[in-house]
Parts: sequence; structure tokens; C-alpha cells
Amino acid sequence: MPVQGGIENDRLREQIRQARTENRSLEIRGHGSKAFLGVRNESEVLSSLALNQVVSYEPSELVITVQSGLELNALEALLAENHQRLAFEPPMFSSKEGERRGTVGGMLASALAGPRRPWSGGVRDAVLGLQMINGEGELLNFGGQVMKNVAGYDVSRLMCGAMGCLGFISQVSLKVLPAPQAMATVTLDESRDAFLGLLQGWQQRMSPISGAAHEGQVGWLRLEGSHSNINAFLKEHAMTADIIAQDNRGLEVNNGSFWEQLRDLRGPFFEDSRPLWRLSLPPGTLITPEMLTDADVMLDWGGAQYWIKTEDEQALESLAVKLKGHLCAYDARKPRHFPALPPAIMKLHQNLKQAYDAGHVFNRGRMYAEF
Amino acid sequence: MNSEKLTALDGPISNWSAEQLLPLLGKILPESCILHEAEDLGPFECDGLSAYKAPPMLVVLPDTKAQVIDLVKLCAQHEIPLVPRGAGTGLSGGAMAVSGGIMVSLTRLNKIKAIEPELRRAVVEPGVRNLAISEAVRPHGLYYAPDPSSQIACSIGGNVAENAGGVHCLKYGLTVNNVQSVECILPDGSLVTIGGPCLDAPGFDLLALIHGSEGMLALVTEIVVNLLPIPPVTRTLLVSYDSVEKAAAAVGQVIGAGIIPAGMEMMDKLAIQAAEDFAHAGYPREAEAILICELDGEKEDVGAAYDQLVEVLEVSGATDIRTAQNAEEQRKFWLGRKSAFPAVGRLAPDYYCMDGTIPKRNLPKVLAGIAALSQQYGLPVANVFHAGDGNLHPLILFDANRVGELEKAEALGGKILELCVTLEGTITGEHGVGREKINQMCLQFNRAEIEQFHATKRAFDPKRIFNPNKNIPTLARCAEFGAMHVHAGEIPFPHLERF
Repeated sequence: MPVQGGIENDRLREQIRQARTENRSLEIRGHGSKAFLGVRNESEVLSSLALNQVVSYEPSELVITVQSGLELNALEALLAENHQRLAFEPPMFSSKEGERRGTVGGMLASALAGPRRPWSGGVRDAVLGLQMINGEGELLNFGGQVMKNVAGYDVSRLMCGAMGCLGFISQVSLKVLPAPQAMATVTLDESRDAFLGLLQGWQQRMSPISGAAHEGQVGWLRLEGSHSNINAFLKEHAMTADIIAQDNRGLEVNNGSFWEQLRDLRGPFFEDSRPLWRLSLPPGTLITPEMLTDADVMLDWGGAQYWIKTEDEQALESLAVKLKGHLCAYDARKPRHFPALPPAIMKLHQNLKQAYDAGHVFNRGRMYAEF
Repeated sequence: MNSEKLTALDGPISNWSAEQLLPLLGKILPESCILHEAEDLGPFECDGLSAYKAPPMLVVLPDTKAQVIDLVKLCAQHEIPLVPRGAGTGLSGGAMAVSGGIMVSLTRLNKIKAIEPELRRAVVEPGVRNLAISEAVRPHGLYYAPDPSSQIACSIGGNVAENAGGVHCLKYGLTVNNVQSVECILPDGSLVTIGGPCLDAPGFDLLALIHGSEGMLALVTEIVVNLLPIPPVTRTLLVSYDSVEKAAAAVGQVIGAGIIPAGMEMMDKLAIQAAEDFAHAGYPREAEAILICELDGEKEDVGAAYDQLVEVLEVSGATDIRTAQNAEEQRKFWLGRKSAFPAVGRLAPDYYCMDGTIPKRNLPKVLAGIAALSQQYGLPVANVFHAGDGNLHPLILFDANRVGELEKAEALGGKILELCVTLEGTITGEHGVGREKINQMCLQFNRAEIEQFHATKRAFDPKRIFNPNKNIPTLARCAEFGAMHVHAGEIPFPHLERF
């Protein structure tokens, strides 16, 4: 039963129609915690914050339907009460006061996922359906609340990561998963190269690994699953770590662990005043010290994602090309469009923009100068 | 409704004839790639849904990607409809020929181009069979997870087009969750890569949009699939119930307890008895319903989940819980389920397989509804479900030789899909819309939503070259079909004349 969002959706639709008529752009905004992504066009705000309800949640269905303005903090707390979680571990970036920020709509539009991403899938893998408003102010429902659904094109996943450029997401149904029984963090005194080599070997078989990061001379490995399985892995590889049993509230959420800090980009590494960059790379890619001289490097996602602190933008650009990856600035001082697309793909983007938001109402110029 | 009216309802009709097209094709393709004699075209007149038949005018079987590109360019230049086809195992008429068009079968592009065990990926051409991928990567301890029941025959290109599922979706996802990138030809003939080697690609998620687009947006020529390590331990349970309601409730109880089975299948009495007669799997004939429940993973994890599972099943009111003691018994448990369709097929001359999905909590309601409809239409229905993800496959038994019975079966099927929509579900979980469910699309989506789908198609294919008249109904069709979506009290399609 798709909730129509009532009066608030009507108000948003009217605001969109008005902007469309007057050829104005609107900036979709929740908490604004991801304002550093892309190039903002500071225009009238289209706010999701009044849409902050949980529409339905039945733990045994593994599905939750929520409105887009709901705080991630509140969503995670509700899931944790039922010993469930979002597998992809969405980041919650802190405000200056240290408050964790982020809404469901922003999570979807940016498609950012935390350290578990390589083992759990991304945001789009958990999207089952959504309700949106297109550039004509029409309220549309796609997908549903079920795991399998192939009726029509997969518009729900198309909206995921589109940075609001194709429409305003008002509501979403997400797949959730049970929190594991236990978790352990292992630290290993290894070079980055050696750590990646070990990881490569462990991953040829099924393993409880659900996080792999490295900085300086220390690698971090997260293991999740049953108590006994984590124990078996530790024993086999002669590792030691405290195994933390999850209580009924799924205590891993916001417990101040290394993984939570990495998820939210907090902690000593991220406090450096130089700009922060994200480099997305093919899994298992090694960045050697010689490749980047004037930079600090944090490996994440088992080498599929690197966090880099540097002023040397030029060196990073060429490294991204060389390693077949792409670069993004995580710094409001460095507004940049998204990585360039081949002409045929850009044409498809422009055509889709035309199909969903012909008046270029939503987030004009946020992802690409072309739309 | 006669077939001409059907076509007219779906938009412009192509007037190309085989005589006109053959010389054009001859310029770009060797003779060995072109089929045009009636006896050669026969095998292509339908896909796995044999009730929907239309012999193609011409079939092209390219040997190379370059030939496919040339073909698409030719079709784009002359506005010739092009229907892509894989192994032809689809179950919704998605690969049905359209009049005045060409059918292109991609089965000759069937090479596994690379296996990259360290990245747990394989690069394959679209004609590679689903199961052939798992067989090829097995020496590396890896497999490809999505396993539609046709996996021995179906092609990976078709899997992408239909976003194919299978029995292990709840835990491992559908095709869209297991593909890294695709190389494809757009309707203007340009070759592009969608997705890439990284875990995310810049720009919109076009890779998700291509999945399940039923060959209407792009023609896939190469697929990079993600592979998983083979789980070292698998435990399979056969659980009996004296009521369907109890079995249906148990599904929710298992998942609610935090257990994610690799597979969780349910069969009702008619299906159990048919399967037992056919496969001698040792199924309990007296049971009203059975669940086949499978756990996989590492030894310790499976052990912990198994103890918990048995406890939940005992509390759920199971009359019998059997755990396969060895690989042979495991195979037998599955044999009954996997042969359920042919087994049920022996009960009547024909059967019609449906594919709705509903939230699991509505399983008892949908079963009661199907039973009532079965009685009303006087046709038996056997039920086989992917219960873990609420995906139903009711099998309607009928005899096509009896006048009017096929139409009756189709009408009953349509009603079952309507019931799924009413119960917050969808008209298709994994078989696709194709031609078969094109009318029911009007039930699930309103005018604006259907128009948004058409706009999406236009963004890729403004001339409607790729697989026209499938998947998304025209608004005229929805008006004609009559039983339309009522959305928030609006009258659907008020501006359209009813005829």
C-alpha cells in the first residue's frame, strides 16, 4: 500500500510545478550532510524534512518502508531494536557540533555505502521500490515491497545515485538483514602490500570478513557471523581479537568503533586540514608509496576504495586514470563535477534528464555541467 | 481480440517484407547467418511460453559482435524492428517475433572470454549458458549464484534482459545484484560499456536500468559477472505441515528469527503428490504442504543456524522435520521440487505457470484466494513457491484441446495476478512482462507511471527499434483492457476514449 504522503507531497508537487513554470531550479535537500558532492547550485530549497515517517516495518519481511526525510540515525536505531540493519552501512557525516547527520533520501540519492560495501552490496542492492516526484510534479510509484519484482523498468535503482537530478524521492522500501551474532576486529602489523596479499588469499574461500582497511603500517580486519565461526577463523590464522557478542539492540551501531569512525570519516586520519579525496578502484588495487608521494593514504573496501589526504590534485587525477578508477573530492572547498562520461553515455544521461525532468528543475548542474 | 487489433493497439506497424530485407541483410552478413525458410523459422516461433506463437519473418544468427553492430546500424537506418533472443527459455513471450521485423539470436556468441579468479569475476558473451559459467569456474572453487530453473539451457544475455532470479535469491540476489558491467549496443549502433571495473561507476546507474529491460533498451554483447566462493557446507531440510497456513506462517517465523536460508521453497498438496509420483523423492503424500529449507555457508555458521532453525520449525507446528543425511538425500529433496513443473504437467494435457510476488505475510490470503478462483473457473491449480521471497508459481491445469479452456486458463491467471497486486505485490517476480502480462501492467501502474516508462524507452530508443510492443503497454491498450489501476481515487486515463 503505497502511502501518498498526503498534504506534504501535494505541497512539494506544487513547489515543483511552480518552479517548472517559472523555469527555476530547486535544490533538493535533507540535512545537507552531503553538500560537498558535485557542484551546488544554491537555489530555492526543496526540503524532504517534513516527510519523516516510518510507513511500514515488518521485521519478518526483511523490508522497511520509510519517507525520505527520516533521519538515518532514527532508522538505524529502529532496525537495531529488532536486531536488524542496513547491510551496506550508510555513512552519517557529523555536523560541527558532532551530531550525526544524514537522511534516507540523501543516502539513496548519493548511494554512499560504508566499509561493508564489497561484501554486502551497495545501496542500490537494497532498494526494492520507491515513490518519487518527477519534474512535472507527478507522484510516481515504482518497484514495490517485495524481493523480486521485474514489472517495468527498474526506475527505483536508476534513482539511486542520481543525486536527485532525475526527481525528488519521497519514500523508499529497503531490504534489511539480520544483524550477525558476533563481531571482531583484528589489527595486523603489516605493510599495505602484504595486507592486500593476505586478504587476497583469505577471500578465495568463504570467510567471515566484512571489512578490510589499512593505514600506515596497520591493517584492520572485521569479522562477522556466528561466535564459533569467527573463532574458527581466528584460530586457523593464528590471530587474536576480542569477539563482541551483539545484544538484542545490535550494538555495533554508533558504538564508537574503528568501523563506525571509518564509515563516518571521523578519527585522526580525517582530521588533517588538507582536502580529502576518494579514489574508487578495481578491488584489490595496490597504491604503492611511490605512486603518491605527498599524501596520506587510507585503504578501505579491501583496496576498492582509498581515502587520500593531499593538496596534489594533479597527481591524483593521473593516478585515477592509470589505475582505471575515478576520483571524487570530499571537501566543500573543492566543488567538482562527477567524473567525465564517454559521449554516448553522456547523451543517454541527457536524454534521461529530458525524460524525467525536462525543465531541469532538480539540482541543475549538480552532477554535470550538461544538466 | 484478434491479432491485428492487438498490434494496432501497440503503436505503428512495420511494413517491411522479407523480400525487401534479404538483400539488405545480404550486404552485411554471410548467408549462413540468415534464416528465412519456413522450416528453419519454426523453432523461433515462440519462447518458453508456447501458448504465445508468432513465426518470425527472418532470423539472424550473427557469429561476431561486429556483425551484430552492423545489423543494429542497418535496423536503425531503415527503422526495422529488431527482436533479440537468447536461448528462448523465457516465460513471458518477451522474445516473440513482431511483424515486419527481424529476430536476432545471440546464441552463437557463446565464449567464456576470461576467468579472473583473484577478482572473482568472469567475462562472458551473452550466449553462454547460465550453468556453463558455474561449471567453468568450479576448479577455482567459485560459482555464479543466480540459478533460474532453466539454468541448464538459458543464456546469460537473457538472464540480464529478464533480471532472472532462481531459488537462492533471498540470500544471493537476482542477476542485477551479481553483474559487474555489461558491454552493449545501443539502438543507434554505438557500442558502450555500462558499469566498470570499480564497485561504483560514475553517473546514473544505467546498469540497473538495463537489467530486466527485456531487450528494449540495449543489446548486450559481453557481461562481466561476479562470482562467489562455493559454500563448503550445505544442509537441506524437508519439513511437513498439516495445513498450508502453518507452513506459510513458518516461513515468516524462520526469517523473523534472523535466519536467512539459501533457499526456502514451498509446495502444496497437489504439487507434492504430483512430484512424488514423478520423481519418487520420498515426499510425504499425506502432508498439506512442505517446505524445503536449505542453509549454506561455513561449517560453524551453518551449525549455529541449523540448531536455531530446527527449534523454530518445531515451534511452528511442523508434523515432520527431516534433514538430508548425505548428498544423495539432498539431491532427492531437491529433485522433487525441481521436477515439480513437468510432474504437474502429467496431471493435465497443459499447464500455465504464473509468477506473482507478494509480501510473505499475505501468503495465507493469496492461497485462499487462489483456491477460490480455482473453484470459480473450474480449473485445478497446483502451487509451488519460492516462499522465502514471496514469489509464487501457481500452475493452472487445463486442456488446450477443449474449446475455450486456454482462454479460461489465461483469464484465471490474470485474476491471480490481480490478486497479487491487491495484496501489495507485483504481477511478475522473475519471468518478466513480455507480451503475456502486458495488460496486467495497467493494473499495477497508473497513466503517469506508464508514460514515464515510455519516456525512459525513448531516452534510449526513440525510433522503437529494439523489441517493440513488449513490456510496457500503450495507454490505448490500457483503456481497451478496461480493468485499470485506480490510483488515489483518480479515474485512470480519463482523456482516452473507450472502445
